[in-house]
Amino acid sequence: MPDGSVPDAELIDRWRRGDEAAAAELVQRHATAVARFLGAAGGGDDVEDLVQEAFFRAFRGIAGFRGGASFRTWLMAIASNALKDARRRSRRRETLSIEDRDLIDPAADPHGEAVSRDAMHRVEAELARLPRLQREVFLLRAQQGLEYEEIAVALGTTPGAARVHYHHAVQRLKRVAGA
Amino acid sequence: MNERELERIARHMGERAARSVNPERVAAGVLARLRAAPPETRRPLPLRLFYAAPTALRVAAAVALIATGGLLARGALRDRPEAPALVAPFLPELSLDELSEVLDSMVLEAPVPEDLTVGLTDLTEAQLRELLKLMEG
Repeated sequence: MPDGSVPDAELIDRWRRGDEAAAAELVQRHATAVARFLGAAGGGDDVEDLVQEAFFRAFRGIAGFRGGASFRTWLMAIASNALKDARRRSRRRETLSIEDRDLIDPAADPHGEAVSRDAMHRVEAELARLPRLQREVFLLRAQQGLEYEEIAVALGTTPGAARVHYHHAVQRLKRVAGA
Repeated sequence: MNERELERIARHMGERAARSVNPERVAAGVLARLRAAPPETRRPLPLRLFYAAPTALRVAAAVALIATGGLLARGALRDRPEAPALVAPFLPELSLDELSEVLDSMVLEAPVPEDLTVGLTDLTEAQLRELLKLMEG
């Protein structure tokens, strides 16, 4: 959620009128969340470029934002497409190797004693092997806290399908985590 | 491991990427690109309809339109005066819901593979032009 006092909608209106400071404020609010999503989804070393690309596409195509979803949800949809396009361009395999991924930093997880690092790495490795939709639905739900309706908008699917993808992802991740 | 623990792991994934991104640098880069970029042109209505639809629907629409075009072309070659009515010219007038309903009834009876990643964005420019020509009758 935005942490400023000015609502996203107002900043968007200001950007539509050409206010660059409003666009910069929107970047400040959402860049970290988008980067976290892209990093976990396999953005590798290109995350900052992908974040920039997502915001560029969003601001350039702001006429297409109708406010039916939150700005962050819309941004996640664009980020997902930017990642997909980048992969297509680089012809990377959809299944990522663990070396390419943004591994969990234990220092960022002060309450992580309950879950072993080994289990965390197994979860990350398995997440990389999930089909793209399962992986992104899982991240948008578990990491970004989006509702299924929002995920459906972001990924161009239905809430029911998103729920199924999430369920399958969780089942697979639980299985490897408990192995 | 329970679901809550999985969610906690997920929240920490991508942490390093998040820390490596400098929002001010991103904002400066985005604004510089926006200043340099020409204004985005709006796609024609038929393509806007298609790009607004989910990938599976867009693929289905492409298949349906190409098939319809093929049938029409074959009918024309046979010089049949009672050729079937054109479908494509009316598509731009349909709302997205109506378009979805029509396509559902025509080609979405078979399940769409979960990993389907092919869409209009995968077509070459020539194929897109051909498709648009078919749509415009």
